[in-house]
Amino acid sequence: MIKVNVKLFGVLSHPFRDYNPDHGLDVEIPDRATYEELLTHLKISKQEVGMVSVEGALVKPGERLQNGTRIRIFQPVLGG
Amino acid sequence: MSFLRINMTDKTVTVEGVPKEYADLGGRGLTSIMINNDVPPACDPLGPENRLIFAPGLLSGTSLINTSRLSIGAKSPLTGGIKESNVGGTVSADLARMGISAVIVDGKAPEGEYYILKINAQGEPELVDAQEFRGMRTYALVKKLMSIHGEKNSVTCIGPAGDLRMPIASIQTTDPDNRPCRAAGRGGMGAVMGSKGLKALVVNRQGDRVDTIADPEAFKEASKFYAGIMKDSPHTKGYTYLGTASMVSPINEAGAFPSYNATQGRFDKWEKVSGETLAKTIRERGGNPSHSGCAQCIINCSNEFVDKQGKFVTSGLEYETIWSMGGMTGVGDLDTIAKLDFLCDDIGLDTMSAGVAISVAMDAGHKEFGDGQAAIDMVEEIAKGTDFGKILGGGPVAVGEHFGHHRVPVVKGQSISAYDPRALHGMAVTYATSTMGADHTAGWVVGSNLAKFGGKLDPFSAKGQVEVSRNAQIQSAGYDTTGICTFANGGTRSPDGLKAFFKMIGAKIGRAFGQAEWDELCLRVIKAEREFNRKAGFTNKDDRLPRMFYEEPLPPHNKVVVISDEEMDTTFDF
Repeated sequence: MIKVNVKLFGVLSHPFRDYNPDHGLDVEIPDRATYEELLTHLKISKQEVGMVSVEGALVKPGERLQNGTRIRIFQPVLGG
Repeated sequence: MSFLRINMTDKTVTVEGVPKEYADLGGRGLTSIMINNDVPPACDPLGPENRLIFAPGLLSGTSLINTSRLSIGAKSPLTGGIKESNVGGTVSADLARMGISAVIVDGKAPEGEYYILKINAQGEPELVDAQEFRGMRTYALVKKLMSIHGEKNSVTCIGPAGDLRMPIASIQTTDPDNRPCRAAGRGGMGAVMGSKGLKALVVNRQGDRVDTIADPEAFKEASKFYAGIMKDSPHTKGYTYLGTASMVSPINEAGAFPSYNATQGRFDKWEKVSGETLAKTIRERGGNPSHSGCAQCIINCSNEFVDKQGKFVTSGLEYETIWSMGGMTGVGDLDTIAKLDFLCDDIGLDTMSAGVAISVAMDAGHKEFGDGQAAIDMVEEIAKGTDFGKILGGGPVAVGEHFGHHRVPVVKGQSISAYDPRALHGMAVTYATSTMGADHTAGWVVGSNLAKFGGKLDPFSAKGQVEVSRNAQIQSAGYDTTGICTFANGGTRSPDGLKAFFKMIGAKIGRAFGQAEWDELCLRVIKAEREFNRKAGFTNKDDRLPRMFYEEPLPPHNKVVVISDEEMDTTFDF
């Protein structure tokens, strides 16, 4: 298993009771898991997600997670 | 349906039927096609030959949700080209319910005269002397006009910036709570209104004509279906919770949030001004983070920002203002940004152009980035009409010329929005080629550029960008014609939603309407705008970004715009 830290933006944190926006979520997930699998693990559907980033770089669903990664997940962008 | 024609030169008001050529139009389609037909392209935007048109969308005032957008059109004193500035509030629905397709203001009141235009519940217009209101700020003006004419009116007005005919003056209009916090900000429409000698429209909210839809039953059924789609949309949920400010975090993360006069793509103080922080701050202080800014809205993207004592500061503090008055000026403090937002609404100023004008001045060394009080002082100077205030009120180009400063992020004289084209190449095409000058709403392609989880376009590459921007610009011209809010047009992404949308337009105008008719409508609008700009002297050379975007790499990605002039020129190959 690897450990990653996940910060959720917009409405994505709502299902997580006691979510702390300063700390995010600490998640344990099997080695070689992908970002798509991370979303499944968190019970977040792809339709609810606009983009996912690691250290400021956008990542794609099939890329694999690394131990200790700090991940940000954003709701879709719609305009403003 | 009717046109109200107001001639400010001889103060005549007439009500007439809608001529056949405009019968199936509304909003931007109506304003742009009429301006192209009737306004001399080389005219002085602040002279009597210019025409100011207020047009509800084709679907405004109907039972369809989120259709309360009003188009305000004229030749722009900021860009020198055609302009449609789009605003919410209640007035669009108020006019449409009285069967008014457009209020058309021609001529110019004799020097020294000033008027308000009052429209009663029967849709009858009357010019009323408003000499005493010249120079008045919008919140005080609305309070006064409501006390005279009653609270069951909408007020669409200018503040001191419009009175002074500043090229970045807005037209403000009231929200459902009678606050003049909704802005037709772009392109200096407030200056045109001031030049006509018109301080405000006071429109009765209780008009209700039943004959404005050709097939009411078919319309009702389709509108109910469409509303159901939007209610279930995850997008609606996201905007209800955080409003447009939800964009701060992802756009900043993408390195596309122009900061410090577009010298940085990430704002180092972003967490202090993010949508998440805004909503939390408003909630903790007892304000309202999810407020309705427009009639018939189910999204509630607006908000009511309050100070630490819970006292009202401003309403409708949005993403673009957080960017222009925050990221661009380096002010990482929501209280200061909220105050600047209120001041701009009260003075009648486009928050975007004003914020960028201030950031250009700061970049030129006039004041330090991050100096919130200096930003407030500069906005106040515009209201007072001091010599420097007039330069600021002239917009970012005037400020750049004053200081001899080269870094001025505008196209056709109008500032960019809160998306840096170096990190979102689709927006480079939209800014450069839009008929409106740099304008994110003219063709918003951020979603398709942001490597949506699953990926579409590379935001740093030219590949495919002209095509997506072209398509978005064409579609936006159509949506702006219907009066539907951009956050509610997402329902058309599903085949059934699109079918319902077309069915409503057909039911409204009384003839079959489908994809072919939609495409024809959209192109008709864009072509009219393009034609007007050509006649006004614009060429392909005006469809370019300023050199800074091609020559100055934007951190953190350190990219420049790589779309060639030849590629830009293919945008209007249709």
